[in-house]
Amino acid sequence: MVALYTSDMEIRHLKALIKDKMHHDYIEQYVKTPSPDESKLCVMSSILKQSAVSEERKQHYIVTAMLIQIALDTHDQVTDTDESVSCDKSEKTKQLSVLAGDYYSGLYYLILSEAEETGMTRALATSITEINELKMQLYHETFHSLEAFIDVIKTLESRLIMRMAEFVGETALSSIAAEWLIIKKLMTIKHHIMSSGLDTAFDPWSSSNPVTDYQTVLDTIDLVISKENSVIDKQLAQFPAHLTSAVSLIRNRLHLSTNSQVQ
Amino acid sequence: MKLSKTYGHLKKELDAIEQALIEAIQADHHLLRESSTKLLQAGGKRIRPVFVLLCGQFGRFDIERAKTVAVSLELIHMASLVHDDVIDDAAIRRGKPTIKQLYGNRVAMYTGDFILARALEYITFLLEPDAHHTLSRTMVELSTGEVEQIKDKYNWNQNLRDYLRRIKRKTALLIATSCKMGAIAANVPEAYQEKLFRYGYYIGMSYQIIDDILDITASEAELGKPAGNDLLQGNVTLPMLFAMKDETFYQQLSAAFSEPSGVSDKEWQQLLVTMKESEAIPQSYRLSDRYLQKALQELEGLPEYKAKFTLQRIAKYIGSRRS
Repeated sequence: MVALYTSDMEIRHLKALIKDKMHHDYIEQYVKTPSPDESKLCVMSSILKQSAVSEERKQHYIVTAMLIQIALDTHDQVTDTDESVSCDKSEKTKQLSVLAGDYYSGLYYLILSEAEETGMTRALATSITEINELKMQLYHETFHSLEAFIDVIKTLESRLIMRMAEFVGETALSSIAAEWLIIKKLMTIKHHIMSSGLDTAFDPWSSSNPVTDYQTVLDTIDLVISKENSVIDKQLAQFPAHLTSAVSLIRNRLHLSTNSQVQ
Repeated sequence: MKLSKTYGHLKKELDAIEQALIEAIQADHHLLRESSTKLLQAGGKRIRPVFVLLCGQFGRFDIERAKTVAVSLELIHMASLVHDDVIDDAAIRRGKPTIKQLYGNRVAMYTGDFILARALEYITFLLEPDAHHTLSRTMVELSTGEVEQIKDKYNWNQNLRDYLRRIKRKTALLIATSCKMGAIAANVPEAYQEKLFRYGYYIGMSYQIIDDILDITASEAELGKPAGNDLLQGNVTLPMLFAMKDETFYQQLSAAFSEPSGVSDKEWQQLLVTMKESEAIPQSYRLSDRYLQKALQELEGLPEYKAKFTLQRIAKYIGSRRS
């Protein structure tokens, strides 16, 4: 049986570990740092379980990759609009958001340097350069369709994990990681749209393509989810025999049935 | 005399580092490439690469290894500047518009993150655990130091120790780290590495104190930014700490900054004049000089190489800086 899935308890433990590493009294007074993304934690942990990485190294890799993710997400909170810094508190929030991201980036390097993990430091640093290239695309390119825009988000969401998987030499689960994460992301966005309007993840799109009809957006999201499901289905069918149990677990986790519909 | 004259003999190596910096910041996205290039072209003294090169001369100097360290440290410095300008909402640096001013906060943030990541990619080619321990600790200290600086803004009740700890993290540590990493890359004996680290630390402290003095005494044209800008941002510097010992000045300062509308230009100019004419400036120079003397003392006992004399000249130049 392949140890694919990370139990809820394990996810909670990892989240607590990451939060403990990030803890900074003063920053937390002003900055609402994003929580570690559970889907990413789960995918990352599953990939590392397929590799020959020791438990200690696995933990280092997950904690540092999530620190980077949170650092980058925290920097995304620094926007161009100046209305948000109209009072002293919001000015401090902006300033400390910049520094919090830099602090978490420093911690990632510190943890890996103490573990003498030069190779992983480089792999993750490379992913950061690529993620920033992709963010520039998101905000400064014109997309001919919402699908094309979502495709950049898909690459962006998975780049850190793909670089990590490449470093540890895992190829099976990482072949569906991008699809897995974008499905999860789109499901969250869809839920957000249906409950409270357009998700901020679509801000770069909506700034140049004002959204008047949410149904069209929802239809596109459903279409992309369906396509990504098909991709995963095809990939899963080619997984080696020793991953059979993993395949059914992935189907359960993503609520996939054989005809590729998201529940 | 210009600072660059003290290390003129390093021109070939510095040109190679400059070329490597240009290559390191080449991004695929045109806007990211443009913003990174503008940041690099904004100049700077490249003092960290100079320390890496000089400190490497005390061991088995290898230009490729030195270049790896120098490029990485300069990129870290550049990334911190571009983020600092977002923090301070700064429109001008070294007399030129900042990345934040030209492209907005978001591009400035991504440019800083991109350059910082490039620095880490670069440094991992140096397989020296000590170098990574030193640099990673410094990077964490740099950001916690900046957090402390924000926490201490407009706090007129801080003391000399608070100020010294802040400038250590803000400036001195990265210079000290440049010296030590240059030495590590050249396998300089450990005892020398520590001496060079302390030299860099004392030089950095002295340099920042003088920068803080010049923020008050130099003109906008000399500074490339408005005079008194750091103080106006609420950063309590050494001259102000000394000046605040005068009860009248302290009262004037507290009153000016307690106005909800902010300090008026007239009040501010008056406060600057009072500080300029006070004993605070010579007192600050004296403390800067004490750090310089300590830096020079650290060089004693090092081999009599040309690099040692250059490090001495740099120390003396920094001590004589008045604009």
